[in-house]
Amino acid sequence: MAVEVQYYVLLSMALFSIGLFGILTRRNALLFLMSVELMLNAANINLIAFAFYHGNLTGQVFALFTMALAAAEVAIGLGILLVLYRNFRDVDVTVPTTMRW
Amino acid sequence: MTTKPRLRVGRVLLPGVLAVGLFGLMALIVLNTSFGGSQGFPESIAITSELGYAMFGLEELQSTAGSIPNTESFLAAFFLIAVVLDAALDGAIVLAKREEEGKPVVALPSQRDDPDTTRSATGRETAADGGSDSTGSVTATGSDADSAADSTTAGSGTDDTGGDA
Repeated sequence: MAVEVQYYVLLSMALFSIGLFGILTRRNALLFLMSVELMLNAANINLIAFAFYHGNLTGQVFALFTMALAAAEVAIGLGILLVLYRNFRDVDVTVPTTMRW
Repeated sequence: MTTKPRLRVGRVLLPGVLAVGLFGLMALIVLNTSFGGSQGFPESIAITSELGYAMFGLEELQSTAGSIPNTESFLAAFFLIAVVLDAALDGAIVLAKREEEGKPVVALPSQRDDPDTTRSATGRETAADGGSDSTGSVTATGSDADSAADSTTAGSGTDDTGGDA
């Protein structure tokens, strides 16, 4: 018995909202990175759920590519985090203000 | 001025109401939408192998009987993602490399600059085989019985091969 697709969508929305909550409330850059990952994984759940819904494999393959893209994003993000810590001795995202606006 | 991820509660959670409200709105929309039943995949097909064939553009290997329709080829996207991952690796290395006075300081140097200065800098090397290099500093730091015995049998501190005797 397959789970109906709307529950997958609800799950992915909950995951996306948790990620958005983290981005809106946290100031630690590491938690930012984790929140972005949560939002990306919400998109993955949607892709796979609708691949099953349409009986098509495209969404599943696309979710694999999204995971690879997330890995690349984390690599760059952790590099930026290192530079942030090296320059400001902190990973608080509100401290570096020179590139704001 | 701490980097410890301390969980902050209180008024800082106020913008999070926006996220909760967005979830409520989206949930309301989804629960009022009728999606209908899922089409699903045929039982007789191994999804994983089909995914692999689709990813590498091997359409002729895909199963024909009761097959999954409209599976596209993702070979170009696969190569693009490979290039992107490579670029991300390079970017991460560039970002993580520390520079001091214009010279990059690498975490794991592939070759030593000068063996003599390196020896003096890392004089307290660990001798795993009992210490073939029985200079005074090495045998003095060895606290186990093996290297202690080496220091007594080798006698003089300048003999390089004495530790193995």
